[in-house]
Amino acid sequence: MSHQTTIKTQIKDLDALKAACEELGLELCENEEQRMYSSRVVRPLVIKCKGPYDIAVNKQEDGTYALATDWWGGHVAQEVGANFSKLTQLYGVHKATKEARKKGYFVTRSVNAKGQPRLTITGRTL
Amino acid sequence: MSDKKIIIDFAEDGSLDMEGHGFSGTDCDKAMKAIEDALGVQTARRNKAEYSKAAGQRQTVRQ
Repeated sequence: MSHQTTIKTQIKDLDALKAACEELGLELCENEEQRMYSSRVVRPLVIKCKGPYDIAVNKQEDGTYALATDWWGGHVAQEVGANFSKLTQLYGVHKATKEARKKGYFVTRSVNAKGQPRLTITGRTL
Repeated sequence: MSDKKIIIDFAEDGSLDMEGHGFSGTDCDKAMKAIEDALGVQTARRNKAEYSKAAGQRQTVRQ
């Protein structure tokens, strides 16, 4: 081993976010209505959920994207995890896979002992 | 075949742990940096004993 690092995931790549959504059976849409408890607002980017509420994908000043939704009733949490946990995990998986493959590395996906997604990256040029 | 590998575990709180295996010296930095930067912001880092071994030391041992 050489070094170990902890990263706080930031959503920057819409293609990776779209892949994460698709894996959860959701759709990332442009210029669509976000359904909330008491209103509906058209947003530039929305993740359409199967339940009654959707997720807004808001671009921030630093270029990253923030997710926002109505958590009432647990509907959204059921689909993407509490505090977007499942969605963020899968975004990280797809983003890391994409970056590693761009460099010509091999990527194997599995699950670790804690039940978390794990990627193993190998390659002759590592 | 290289024994080097990078393992990434994705936690439920939106963080991920990334660890280099089989690297010598600071070689892991170059291999892991592009992926680290693409994924987000580093919040913690721990260098293993192997990190301190400079790649040049191997040549000295061979001589």
